[in-house]
Amino acid sequence: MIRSKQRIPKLASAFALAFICSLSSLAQSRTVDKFLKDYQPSQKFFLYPSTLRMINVEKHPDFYALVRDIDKLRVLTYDKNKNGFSRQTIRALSQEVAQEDYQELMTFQADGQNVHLYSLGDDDTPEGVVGLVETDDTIILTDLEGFIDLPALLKLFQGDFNFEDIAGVVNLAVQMREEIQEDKN
Amino acid sequence: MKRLTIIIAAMQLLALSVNAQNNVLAPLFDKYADDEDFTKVTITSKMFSLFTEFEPEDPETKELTEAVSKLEGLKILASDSVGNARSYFKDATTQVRKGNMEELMSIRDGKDDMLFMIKEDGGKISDLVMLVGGEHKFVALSLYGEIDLKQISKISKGMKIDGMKYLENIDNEGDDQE
Repeated sequence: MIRSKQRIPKLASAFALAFICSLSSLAQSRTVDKFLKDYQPSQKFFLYPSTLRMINVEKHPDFYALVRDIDKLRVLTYDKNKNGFSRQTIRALSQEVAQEDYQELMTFQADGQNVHLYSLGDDDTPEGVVGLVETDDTIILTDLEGFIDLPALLKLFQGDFNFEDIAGVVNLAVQMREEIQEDKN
Repeated sequence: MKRLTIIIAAMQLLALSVNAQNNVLAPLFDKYADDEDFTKVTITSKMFSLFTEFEPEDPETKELTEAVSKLEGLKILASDSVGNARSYFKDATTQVRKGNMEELMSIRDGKDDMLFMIKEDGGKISDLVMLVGGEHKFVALSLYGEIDLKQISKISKGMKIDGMKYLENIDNEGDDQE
């Protein structure tokens, strides 16, 4: 009946995608900038409109609607052990982001995952969003420029769209990029 | 003038803290904040308000978006691997009953007990709580803001949390009572 472990993460995944909610992020978080300055990410990648269309392998029309106004999505991944990060790291990051003018959108904690989403700006003129994600081994910081269609996200969520497929394609793309870089080196 | 400013600032702070603590599940969330057996989800009014920016084309999504945009928050505390789930359910029920809420519906589904409670003022529902207790399963969900029972079915379908499927019948229950 209640499959909380399956359903709630799916809900959270959908809302986690919504961290990119209708935002033109000309403003960027000083906290994220400082963190990037202080620590070297193990992975850093950018998704542009062309990439976002490409990862829609099933050519789902609502996914096109979802991402068509996204200008750029930046994702920074950090290895917790390598950098000596602890639970306190994400807490401190959350507090620092909140001390800027960011407002909390959602938090999610389950199975060692810890997600915090914050947005900047008012409802009419949203200016930016910061996503902080902690897993057992990694800390991921996300930053978006552009705009996402929330009703399209709701439609995808109501339907059978598999968000994990998209995550899989992104992982594959990152892996391929790393292999190419290794070959170059 | 300075004194007046301090009083106004103090009142604003008080209002903020009352709002933050007002949710009936807040004490439960605080209690299990560091307990990793639980899944914890909090969605704020800011997230819901972002839905107002869009004008979806199809009527069904439009209705759902409108319903969602009136919500002020959602809190979920859930686990399907706790040993004493029934005692959690009992504790939560006691906690929620203290919060001036009235029972809307209770269901026994197999080994699971479910309880739905609402806070109503002047015909408007401002808080809906769902509690589930099973052998190893415990769920406490609170949806607050401006809640229209007839829209609950849409919200519950939209959010796809299985336990909320029972809410899909609430508007019919309301009709039956009229």
